[in-house]
Amino acid sequence: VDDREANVRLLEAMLSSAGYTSITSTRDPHQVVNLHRTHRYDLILLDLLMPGMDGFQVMEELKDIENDGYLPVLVITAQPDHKLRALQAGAKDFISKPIDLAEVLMRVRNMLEVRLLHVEARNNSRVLEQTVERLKEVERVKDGFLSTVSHELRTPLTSIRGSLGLLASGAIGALSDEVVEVVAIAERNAVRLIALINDILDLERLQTGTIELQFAQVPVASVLRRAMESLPSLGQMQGITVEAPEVPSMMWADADRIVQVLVNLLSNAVKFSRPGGVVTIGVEVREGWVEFRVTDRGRGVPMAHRETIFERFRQVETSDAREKGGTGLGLAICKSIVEQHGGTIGVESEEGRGSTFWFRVLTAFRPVAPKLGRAILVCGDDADRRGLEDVIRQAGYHRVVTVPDADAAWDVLKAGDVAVVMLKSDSDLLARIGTEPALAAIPVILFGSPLVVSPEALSDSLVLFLPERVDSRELLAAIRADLKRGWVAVPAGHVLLVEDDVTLLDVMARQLSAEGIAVRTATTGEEAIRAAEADPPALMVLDIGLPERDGFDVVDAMRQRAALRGIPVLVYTARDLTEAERGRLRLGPTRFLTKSKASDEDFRRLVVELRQIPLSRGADAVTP
Amino acid sequence: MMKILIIDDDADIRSIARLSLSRLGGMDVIEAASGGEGVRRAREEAPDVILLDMMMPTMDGLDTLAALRAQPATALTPVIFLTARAGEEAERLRALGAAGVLIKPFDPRTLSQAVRALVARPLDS
Repeated sequence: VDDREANVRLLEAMLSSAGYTSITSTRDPHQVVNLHRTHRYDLILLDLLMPGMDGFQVMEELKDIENDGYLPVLVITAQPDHKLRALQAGAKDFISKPIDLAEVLMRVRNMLEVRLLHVEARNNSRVLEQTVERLKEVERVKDGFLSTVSHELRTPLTSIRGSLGLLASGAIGALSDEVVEVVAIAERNAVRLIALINDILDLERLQTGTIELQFAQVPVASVLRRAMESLPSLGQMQGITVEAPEVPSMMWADADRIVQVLVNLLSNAVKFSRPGGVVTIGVEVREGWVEFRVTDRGRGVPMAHRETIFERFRQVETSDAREKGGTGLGLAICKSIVEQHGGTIGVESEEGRGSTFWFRVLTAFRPVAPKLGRAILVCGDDADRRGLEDVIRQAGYHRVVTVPDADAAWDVLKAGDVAVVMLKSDSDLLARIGTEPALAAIPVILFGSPLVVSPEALSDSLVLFLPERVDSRELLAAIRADLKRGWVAVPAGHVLLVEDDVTLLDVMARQLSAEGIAVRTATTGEEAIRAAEADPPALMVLDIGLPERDGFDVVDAMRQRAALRGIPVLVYTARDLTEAERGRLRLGPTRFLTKSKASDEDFRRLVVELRQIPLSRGADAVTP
Repeated sequence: MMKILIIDDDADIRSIARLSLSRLGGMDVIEAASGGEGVRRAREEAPDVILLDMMMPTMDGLDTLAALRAQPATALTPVIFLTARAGEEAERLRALGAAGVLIKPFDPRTLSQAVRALVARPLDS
C-alpha cells in the first residue's frame, strides 16, 4: 500500500522476481481493510505517509477485523520517529526509506516465516481444543455406556446366578462332589461379577447425583456399632481384631452411607493386615465436624499412589482385585459418599508400617451442605471474579460455574438449577432475572456500588451487596446466608395441615406462616383428600383421629394417585402408634411426632426439613 | 400349601423362581408374563402372595400394584416387589404398601424363606 505509483511498481517487481506470486497492490489506503477482509493477506507492506488516510489509521481499521490476534503489517517509513510509533500501533516490523532491496527481501522473508509459524500454532491449538472436546464427549458416552451395559448385565446374571444356586441346592437332583465344586466356583464368580456391577452402578449414581442421601442427626456410636456388626461377614478375619472407641457425639449424615464407607475402609484394613494383627478405629470430634480414622499395620500405601488410590480401579497392585477380593471401586465410592456429605477423605501412610484412612463429616445440619445439582453461578470475566471460584471451591462447594458475561449467565440460569448468582452490580442481568418469575427467588450477590442498580430491579429480588474486592470470609458468609434464604424463598409449594382441633390448627398455621411457608388447612379426612387432589402439597401434616375418614384412610386414598404417592407426611398425633400402624401411614418420606412429647421447635424443624425434600412423583421416579 | 403368583416378563427368571419356590419352598406356583396377565390370574386364582417384578414393559410394577389394589378380590393380597435397584427404592416401595421388596439377583436357596418372612410380618394390626 503506497500512494506513489513508482514505489508500488518497484516493490511488485522485486517481490515477483524473488518468486512471490500472489501479490495485490493499491494506492488507495481506504481500500486496505476491504481487501484484507476478502483476501486475508499473510503480509501487508504499508506506507505510513499517505494523503487522506495515513498508515496508522489503516492499522486501526485492520485491528477491527478478526485477525487471530495477529496483524501482519510491515511498515515503510522515512521518518525515524515513526518507527517506534508504528511498532506500538501493532506493526510487526519496519523498513526505512529509502529502501534497500536486499533488506526488504530479508524482512519480508522473516515476516512470512513468522506468519507461517503463527498459522501453524493457531491450527494446532484448534486441533487441541477439538481433541479436548472430543475426549470429554467420549468420557460422557463411556459413562453412559457403562451404566447401560451394567443394567443390561444384571438380568442375565440374575438367571445365571439363580440357575447355579438351584443346581448347588440339590433341588434339581443330587450332584457328585466334583460337580458341586465346579458349580460353587461358577456361582462364586457370578456373585463377584454382580458385586462389581452393583459398585459401578452405585458409583455412577453417586457421581451423577441420582441418589438422594437421607440426612439425619445420627449418633456416631450407632454408626460405629453397625459397621462393626457387619465385620464377621467379611470372611476370613484370620485372628485380626478391630478396636473401636466409645463416642457420645452426634453427626449429620446418611447413616446407611456412612456405615458403607466405614465397612469399606475396615474391610480394606482387614484385607491388608497380617494374621493376628490389629485394626483401630479412631474418632475425633472437633468444632463442627467429626473425623473417623481407620488404621491398619499392613504394608502401607506407597507415596505415588496416595492421590490416585481414590480413583476408579486404582488398587496399588493390579493383582489386588483378584487376590484380596473387592472390585477396585470401593474407595472411589467412599470418596463420592464423603464428598456428598460435604466432607473430605484422605490417607496417611508409612510404607511397610501401615496406613490410616480418614474422613470428616459435619456434626450438625448446616444449610450450606453442598447439594449436587444446585450450582453457584459466578458471572464476570475479570481476575477478581475468577478468583472467587477458587475460594468457593476450597470452602467445599463443588458446583461452581463461572461464565464471562450476562448472556452466558442467562443461559445457565434458564437451563439449570442455580442456588446463588454472583455478579457485578452494573450488570444488566439483575433486571433480566427480575423479569422471569421462576428465577426471582434465586438470591443474588452483587459486587460494587448499590447506586448503579435501578430500584425496579431490586424490588422483587433477594439481593446482597458486597464490595468490589471482597475477602473470602465475608464472601463465604454471604453464600451461606443466601443458600439458607434461597431454601426458604424458593416457592417449594404449600403445606397442607390436616387437624380437626381448630385451635391447634390455628396455632400451627400461624407458626408456619411466620416462617414464610404457605399453608392450607383441612379439618376432616374427606376434605384433606379433596384438597390434596386439587393441588398436591409439598408436605402434609396429618392428624390421625379425624371425622368422616381418619388419617389411615387419607394415606390409603393418596396412595392410589400417582401424583400424590411421593408426598412427604408428618404424622402429628396424640396417639402412640405401633410399628404396623406407622407402616400403614407411610406415603413419601414420613416422620412421626407425638403431640404431648414434641416441642414447637421440633414441629417447626421437621416441617421445614420435610418440605425441602424434592417430590418424586409416582412412576416417573421409578422408571430408570 | 401357600399359593404364590409370579409376575415377571423374563421367562428365565420365572423358571428359576418357580423351581426355587416349588422344589425348595414347597409352594404352589402360578406364573404370569405381564402385568395385565398377572392381574387377571390373581383374580382367578386368588394366590396367598404375589411376587411382582418392578421393570416390565407396558404395565410396570407400580401400575400392576395399582390395578391389583383396585380389584376387590386382590385388594388385600400381600405383594412383594422384585427389583434390580437396591436401597432407597425399597424404602419407597414399602411406603407404597408393598409387603416387602426383594433385590435381584436373589439367592434361589433362600427365596422361599424370604417370601415367608415378609408375608408373616403383619402389616395390619
